[in-house]
Parts: sequence; structure tokens; C-alpha cells
Amino acid sequence: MQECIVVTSGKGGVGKSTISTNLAVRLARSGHKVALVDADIGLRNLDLLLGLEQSISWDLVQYVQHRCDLADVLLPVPNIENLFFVPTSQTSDKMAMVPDDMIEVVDRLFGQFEFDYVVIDCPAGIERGFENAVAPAHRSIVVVTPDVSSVRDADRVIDLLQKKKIADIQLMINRYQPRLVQEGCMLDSQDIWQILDTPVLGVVPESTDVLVASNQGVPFATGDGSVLQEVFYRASRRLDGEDIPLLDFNTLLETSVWDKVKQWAKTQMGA
Amino acid sequence: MSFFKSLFAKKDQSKQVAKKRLQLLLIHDQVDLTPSQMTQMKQEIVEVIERYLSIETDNTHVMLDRLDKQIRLVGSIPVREDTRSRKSS
Repeated sequence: MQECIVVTSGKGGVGKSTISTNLAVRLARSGHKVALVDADIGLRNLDLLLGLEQSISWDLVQYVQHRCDLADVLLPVPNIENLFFVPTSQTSDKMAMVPDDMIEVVDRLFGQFEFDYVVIDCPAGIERGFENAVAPAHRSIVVVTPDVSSVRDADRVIDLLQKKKIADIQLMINRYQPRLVQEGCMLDSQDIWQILDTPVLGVVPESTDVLVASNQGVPFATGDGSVLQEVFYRASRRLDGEDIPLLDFNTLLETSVWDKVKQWAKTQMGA
Repeated sequence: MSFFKSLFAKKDQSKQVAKKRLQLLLIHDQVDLTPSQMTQMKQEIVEVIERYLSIETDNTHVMLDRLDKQIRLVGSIPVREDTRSRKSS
């Protein structure tokens, strides 16, 4: 099976790059041949998350302009077998490509290079960069954080994706803070699922590990054992069509005596 | 129980407020109808109904809601007692 997945959000800064990179890492670790495409022309970032900023010779825009071959652009990611990175240009702008260019690139990645998955990291916004990134996609992951502006933008993007006949849309809820959810001051995953009427692929807890990983240029999904890593492991298996449940944060939160009193009080009020 | 309510229920509000605001907002984003257009439409609907029925205009609610992926216009328009008796006579 060959599938092209676009990771998008509308709103910037919600964690698209982190999520597309680590999902791609996880899919590759499951044995799939994966191409991770940075579609944010002019604002290149994925190379930093992968620690490849010093290794890029050619980029996607140069390929589209016939200045190199696609094989020159494909960069194997060190220490992660089966994962290849397709960098974009840091100097061109979004108009340097049209949606048909992206379709041609992905067709070749599947045909000539025999990739199983192509994961496209979409730029923020809903303009040309979005149009380019979405054009070859079979399915989409919409990244959303539990705040009102991000949820609103996600709704808009879901609407646009549906108009482009991308029916398979799933949510990755990022920057989730189980403690705040428990206290009732953050939308929970079920609220977001209900509001957006879109199934949830994974819920990513807020974690300093994300910052540390980007500082070091080593995606956190290369390792195992933490809650964050478990979330991406499960998300990749779910993406692969397996019936694995979401991680339940309620069981992970250590419950203090005070919390128990609060919960008891709530049941007394019938709230 | 009011003691418990004042002690624990306070923080619960912000999430519920966010959810309600979003649910309403997203429907209006999708139908692309401004609040003033909505008010005007309600007014006109009430005017049409009033030609046929005597209704409690203060208690009338017409709003957009989403059910099973479909956006629908939902109305609750109470009919006055006198209209009913007039119709039956």
C-alpha cells in the first residue's frame, strides 16, 4: 500500500513539523519506506529537527526547476533506516511551485523510488503553500491544540480538505495538559472530537522533551519508553490501520488525596 | 451543597464556555451568516408566522445547530392560548 499523508493545521506554531517528523520516524521504524517532504518553501525547518541542516546540497525547488534530479534531493536520515528527507528551498517563495509539481514529485516517489509512505509537512495558512502540499494527498492529519483559535482554524482547514475530496481526515491534538483538563480549564480530546466531528489519531501531551529533541536535532520518536514516545508509537500503528486504543491520560495522572476529595465532592453535586 | 459548588465548580466554567462559543462560532463560520443577518432573518420569520398565528414573540428562539454533520435551523416558537381556542371554535 502506498499512501501520501499531508500534515496540516491552518494555524502556525501548533506543532505540524514536530508531529510530521516524529510520525515519519515511527512509520520508518515499523519497516515502511518513508519520504518526509518539507513543503514550507522559504521557511525551511524540518532539516533542523532531523539534524540535517549541514547536509543539504539540493532542494525540491531546484528539482522542479530541472537543476537536479529527484535522487539528488532525497537525503537518507542517519540512524533511521528507511527514512528519507526531501528538503525545500530556504530562499524561494511559495510561488516557485504549483500543485501539479507536487503531484509529479509524489508520483515519482511512489513509482520510481517505491516509497510506502510520503509524509508532507504543510506550511501554515491556506494559500498557495497549502494548495501545493495538499494536492497529492490521499489522507490528512490535522494538528490542533486545545485552544479556541486553533480549533476554529482546524475547522476551516477540515472544510477545505473535504472540498478537495480528501475524506480520510484525523486529528492529532498537541500540547495537551491532562492536569488542566482534569481541572476543567482545558478542552478535552472528546470535546475537540465532538466540536470538529473528526476522529482523533493521537493526543500529544505538552512536554519539554519536544524542545530538547529539537535543540539536539534528534527526533524523540527514535527512542522508546516515555509517554510521548508511546503516543507516537500508537499513532503510527493506528495510522497503519491497527486497532490500538489511544493512551488514557487519566490513568497516568497520579491522584492526590485532594483530587479524590474534589472528585467525591463533584459526585455529591451531581456535576 | 452550595458550599461545594462555590468551592469546586468555579474552574469548570472556562472549558464549557470555550466549547459553547466554538460550537456556535463554527456553525456561523460555515453558513457564512453575520449575527445581524441572523437577527434580521429571525425577525422576518416571526413576521410571517404572525400573519397566521398569535405567538409569544418574547419566548421565540430561532438558532442554527449541528446534528450528525448537518447544520439545521431550529426554532421554538410558542403559540398563544387565544390562537388555539380561536382555531378550535
